[in-house]
Amino acid sequence: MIEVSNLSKRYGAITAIDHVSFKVDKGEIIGFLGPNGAGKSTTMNIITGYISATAGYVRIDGYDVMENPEQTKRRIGYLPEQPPLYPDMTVKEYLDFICDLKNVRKDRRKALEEICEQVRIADVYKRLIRNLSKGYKQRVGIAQALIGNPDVLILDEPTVGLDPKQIIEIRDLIKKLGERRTVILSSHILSEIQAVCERVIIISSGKLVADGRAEELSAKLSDDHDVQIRVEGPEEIVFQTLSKVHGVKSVRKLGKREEGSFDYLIEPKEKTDVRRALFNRMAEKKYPILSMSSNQLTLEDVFLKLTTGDYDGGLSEFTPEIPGKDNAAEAPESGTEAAAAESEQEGSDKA
Amino acid sequence: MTAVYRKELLIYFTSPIVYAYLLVFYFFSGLGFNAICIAQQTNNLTGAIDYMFTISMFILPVLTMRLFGEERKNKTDILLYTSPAGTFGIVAGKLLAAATVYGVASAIFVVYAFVIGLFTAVQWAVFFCGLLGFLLMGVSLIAIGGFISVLTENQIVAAVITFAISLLLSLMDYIASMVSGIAKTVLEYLSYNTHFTPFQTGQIGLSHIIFFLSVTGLFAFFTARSIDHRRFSA
Ligand SMILES: Nc1ncnc2c1ncn2[C@@H]1O[C@H](COP(=O)(O)OP(=O)(O)OP(=O)(O)O)[C@@H](O)[C@H]1O
Ligand SMILES: [Mg+2]
Repeated sequence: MIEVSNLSKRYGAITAIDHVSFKVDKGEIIGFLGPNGAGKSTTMNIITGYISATAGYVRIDGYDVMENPEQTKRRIGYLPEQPPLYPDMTVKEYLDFICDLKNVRKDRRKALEEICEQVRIADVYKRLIRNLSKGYKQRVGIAQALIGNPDVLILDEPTVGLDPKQIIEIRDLIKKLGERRTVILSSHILSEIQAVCERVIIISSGKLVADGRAEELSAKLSDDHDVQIRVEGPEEIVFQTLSKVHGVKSVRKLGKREEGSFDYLIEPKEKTDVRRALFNRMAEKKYPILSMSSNQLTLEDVFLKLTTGDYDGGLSEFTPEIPGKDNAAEAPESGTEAAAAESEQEGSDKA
Repeated sequence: MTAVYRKELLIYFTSPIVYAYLLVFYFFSGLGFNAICIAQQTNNLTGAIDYMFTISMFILPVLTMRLFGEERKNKTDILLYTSPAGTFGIVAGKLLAAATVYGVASAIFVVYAFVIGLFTAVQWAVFFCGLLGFLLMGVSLIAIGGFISVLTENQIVAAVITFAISLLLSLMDYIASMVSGIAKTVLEYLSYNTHFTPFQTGQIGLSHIIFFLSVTGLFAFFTARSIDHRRFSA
């Protein structure tokens, strides 16, 4: 359906994307991930035929985007990073214009009604776009991409600016749209990609660094299963006891997080699962385990691991913060700082 | 093309600047009509048209200054260039919309002609010939202005440059008089007066029509090329 082959784009000295290749099959929903400036929007602009590549090609249904633009553009609905809206038009005028532009003639009214229903903009239909809130503008942008019922949807950060309820609605919508369509969507919100996409493509500094199912990626990159536990009891004694549990290679103290208990990070010997042994031992000694979590890499971790050079496998998440620590002086750690921030953010997302 | 044309007209007529343009146009043409036609008791409108030729040089850039640059600035151009409409269709749609506004402004002359018709016989042939020249001249200036607006996202810069070019074109006779030989011939040929004045005497010269149409076509072509160059270079 979509074939991206050896795509490169240079802006003078800047290489925005560098030999990126991937294929998307009909009906797939692809998550396009990458840090700021990775080249996501650039790639999308090339796929949609807005700009040309310096090298490589893009084919949609076998048609080259540069050679057969009429064929490919009819098949694509595009929501650019910044929704392309005319502030002085009403939503109705705008969507009518898009219908004109995409040569949607028959059943226009019905099609528009359906789209407005899907993205929930019926209530602002008669209003001037300039007066809409950011979230509504974003929705009008999504509506625009859906007009003409394109087979391929390219959505550049579609949920930016939406409220949590809307985000969920739009995600569900994208999933639904993806049943019959091919969707590429970019996002910084990893949980979003995980919720919506079957496959994830990660680019960093213009290079493709990963392409696969989310679970596959995290499994492939996961180290052995570290375990983080919180145990009630005196720190030093619990630490000693933990160290002697069968299968444990090393234990790291993570400090106090909850009154009367301490956290520990346990690294098991190769390919062993120490969770049961830990439970039994602690029960024996009457030190209650308040929480235990297997430290498998989340997509978040995979992302950070692949897009920053100095990732430590998520350990930093558990490093107690040292007050007054000078971040600038700890340059190599900046990636892990970000890791902690990301994880915290995810935590609050779930909450 | 028709989609872009209709959208552009919609935007024009929701924008105060176009109403200001029309107001200024109607005001000055009324002034000219009064001073030239009524005061001199003539049934020939070409004097007033000739006078609006000069005024238009000043005010026409207002219609073209945001034609392309604004869309690029607001990133709405992505919408147009990723739609099935081709670059040339988009350019044509936009220029035609500007030309339509210009046409609406120029239509006031027909009203004046009818006013004259109330008192005396109108020389319709001469009048329409003059009006044709006026329209052709304006459309060619619109094409030039559109091209300038592709080059800059800044409306003021676009308007000033377009104005400067218009001024240069209208002063070409004067500049031509200062040189001689082949340069003189070239400059005289490029002068808008050379091609505009004959229309006002009721002569439809094919070469003059071709001149204005060529300028229009050439600049529309440059416009489309420079848009595509920006998108497809590098
Ligand atoms: N018109 C341009 N001229 C010069 N450099 C550009 C241009 N457009 C993009 N770039 C550069 O190309 C690189 C990739 O940009 P791009 O917008 O594709 O990133 P992105 O992955 O979409 O980032 P974000 O997550 O911030 O949206 C960046 O380094 C950017 O500065
Ligand atoms: Mg982007």
